[in-house]
Amino acid sequence: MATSESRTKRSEDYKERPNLKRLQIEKQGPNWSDIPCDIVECIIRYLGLEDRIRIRAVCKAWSVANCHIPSIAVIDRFPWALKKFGSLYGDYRLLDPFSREYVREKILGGKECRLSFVENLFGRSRVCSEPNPYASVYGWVLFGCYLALPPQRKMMLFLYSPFTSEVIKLPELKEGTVIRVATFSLNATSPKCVIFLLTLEGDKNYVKLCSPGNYSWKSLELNSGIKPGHADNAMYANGVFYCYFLHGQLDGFNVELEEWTVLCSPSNSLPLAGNLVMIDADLCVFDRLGLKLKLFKFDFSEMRWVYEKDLNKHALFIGCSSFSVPAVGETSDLANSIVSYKKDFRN
Amino acid sequence: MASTLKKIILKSCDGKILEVEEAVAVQSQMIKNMIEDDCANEEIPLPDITGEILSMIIEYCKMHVDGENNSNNELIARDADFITRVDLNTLYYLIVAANFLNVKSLLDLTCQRVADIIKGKSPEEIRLTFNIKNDFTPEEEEEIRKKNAWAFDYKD
Repeated sequence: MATSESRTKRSEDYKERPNLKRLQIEKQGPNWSDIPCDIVECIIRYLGLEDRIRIRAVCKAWSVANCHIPSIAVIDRFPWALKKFGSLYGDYRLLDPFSREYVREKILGGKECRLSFVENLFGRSRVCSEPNPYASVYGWVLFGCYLALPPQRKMMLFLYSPFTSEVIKLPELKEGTVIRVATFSLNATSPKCVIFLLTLEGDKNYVKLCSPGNYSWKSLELNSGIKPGHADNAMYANGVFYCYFLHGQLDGFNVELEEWTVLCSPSNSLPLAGNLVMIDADLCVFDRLGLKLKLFKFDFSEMRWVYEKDLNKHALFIGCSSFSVPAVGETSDLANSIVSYKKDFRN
Repeated sequence: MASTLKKIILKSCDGKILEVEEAVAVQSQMIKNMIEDDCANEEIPLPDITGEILSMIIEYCKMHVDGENNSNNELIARDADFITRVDLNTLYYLIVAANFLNVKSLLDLTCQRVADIIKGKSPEEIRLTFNIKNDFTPEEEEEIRKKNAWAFDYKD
């Protein structure tokens, strides 16, 4: 954070400014584009997502081109919390983490362009299922949908950025592949980004990996000792894809070592179905079936889940991926709140 | 220890001298630091703040010191009453002065007000409202709009 130190420093600069400028502006009214960057940052904190983006186009001083205003760029890192509506080709909505309101529906939908990017990508007649969002990180969404490629139906996965309308197609999957979980690490434009799938083919479980631009999936069969059962939810953190299974079983896949590890065995006291979320640096899971928030933190020293009584002053956003933001300072009224559309979200 | 009745003398850029109780003056983190560093025994010149703005800031700080025992809701209502009386030009000087003097609650209040004015407006409307010159080339502006087209589409 730019703390009081930098503010004092800037204030000193300010003090040294000659009064001439002040006399000038008094004649024609103040020039708001001159306002110090830390004030612009402070103003931005009170704006929702759409307004934050729009003010980039006001003037250079307020735009993202101004390196002194990093907080505007930060929005690009937020996952898209998507809600699905309707049946065929559903509409999607983005949840604004700042105002906790839905940004207008048209972003991804609207009658005339209902996910038309999918049809443009694969051809109208070939798209035979509604695209499903699997995960969202850094402003990108991982979608999957079935394509009719007679005589088969194939699952296609692609990454989409609603911010920029960019699409990254991912390699095809063999017919009959069932995706249990799908997620990805890092920004999709980073060469180090990895898309991670846990799939079922026949009675065998596979980990499938690829990076944007690859032509095929790298497939690793999970040895028979590991029976993931109902794979529930996965998320990436610090080089590891974590998977939460029935009743608290937690497994981790280390990307660099390509190693699968069972971290914690199931227990009936843990949620049957859970969604993983990072709260600061802690890996947590919440019960996604219960009506009330039931949260557990994973204790890596004891390798077990520990009950947490609240969100520790964070706001939790539940979408196709879940994420939390610390609620401090101006956003402290968000503390321990949950923004969710639980009934609709799928995984 | 400094007595609570100690007065701090502030001098605005247009030569206005204001005597302020220390309890009120220390709402400004900058003045508080000066007092702690023992630099506030003589009048403090404020080269960029007019007497009018300085009086408003002192009024605001006083309101907060006097209202310390009031309920939170009451303070919020008073803040709202204070800020809605301020026109846009005054708001500019107030925000810059609050930043310079480091009066956190006033800075938050003024920034919130500016944000409320910005909300829902197009870039053109924001420029008109705040008297800001568009310094983008048409190409640059187009690039920004293209990148985030959805946020610039106002048809509801």
